Amino acid sequence: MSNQRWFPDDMPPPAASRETLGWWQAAAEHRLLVQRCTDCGQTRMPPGPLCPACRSFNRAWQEVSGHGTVYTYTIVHRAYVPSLADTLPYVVIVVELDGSGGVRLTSNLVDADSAVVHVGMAVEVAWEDLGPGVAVPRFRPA
Amino acid sequence: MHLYGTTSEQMGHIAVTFRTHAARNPRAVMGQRPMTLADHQASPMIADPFRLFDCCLESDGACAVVVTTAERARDCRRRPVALLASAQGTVRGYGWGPFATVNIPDESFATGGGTGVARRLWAQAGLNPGDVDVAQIYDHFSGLVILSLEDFGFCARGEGGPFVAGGALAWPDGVLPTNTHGGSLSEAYIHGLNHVVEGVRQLRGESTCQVDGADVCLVTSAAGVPTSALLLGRQ
Repeated sequence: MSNQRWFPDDMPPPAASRETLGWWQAAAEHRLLVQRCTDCGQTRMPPGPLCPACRSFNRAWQEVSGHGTVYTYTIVHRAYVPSLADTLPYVVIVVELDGSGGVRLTSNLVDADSAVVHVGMAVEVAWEDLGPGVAVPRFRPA
Repeated sequence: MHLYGTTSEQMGHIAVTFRTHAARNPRAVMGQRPMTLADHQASPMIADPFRLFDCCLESDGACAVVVTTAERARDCRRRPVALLASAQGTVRGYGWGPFATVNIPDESFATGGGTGVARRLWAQAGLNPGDVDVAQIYDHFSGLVILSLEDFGFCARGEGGPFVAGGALAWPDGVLPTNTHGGSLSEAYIHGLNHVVEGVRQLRGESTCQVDGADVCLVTSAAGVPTSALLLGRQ
């Protein structure tokens, strides 16, 4: 477990549901998953019970490398959680994950000045441990 | 912006145009607060590329619309407006996942998701964008107006920025006077129902930015989520 933190302690923690529990359990082990339909092979995020392509309920986890590229982004200049004031501006990115069948994940760019973010930027996962059994994937320049 | 080179200044033209319309509307929250393009460019960045003046107001307010049959409407005291067509929905895959917009297909990512609604709306009414005299386009954020204008066919994909910067939305001389009440950016944010009310005013000849001889008004709901739209006609 790393101890690196990029966001304040009082950020709302992730809330796992029955459908996302396996994803968060893997995240706690620093493994990044996407969900895949075992009938048609369509991958998807976030995890859910039903394949949006073929309506099958059959599904499995597929681990990905944690590498990807920035598909789109925004740079946030307002502290919607008051303690974020010291983190401004922070960068929200949508990452297209390598080897995922085109699945995109919303996350943050860390360990980089906000000015460097751009569409097509290569990034790799950087895990932020929030507490025992809870980790959130952020991304840093690759 | 990445695909077509749309600029913050082009989005600023939308905000300034709607503010100019609001200045004539006594109901408009921002009616007494003129804005220039320089004011827009100087407003603080909220979430890049949206500055403060690209974001709609937060308002308390209410409006109402009475919908009835054409037969009953004939007996009303106020002049009725015809509902020419209405449609709702989205394009395939646009709503994938609860964070709707991150996993929509690449071909529809940089759209407002309204192309299917637009196609059905025009077909239902037997009209096309060239028949629209005035429009009320949902303006939660300035940039989303550009996507709606493209979705509904007022300009080609990627040309919305130059289209709005060229004055297309300005009353009275633009090719498509839009948000003649000031919109959610400058009249009030009543979740777009005030856009329907302004459409009715235009077709009754009662707008504070009245388009001469307005016969057809397009009213749209939000781009970026499953959406809906109306075509209203003068009775």
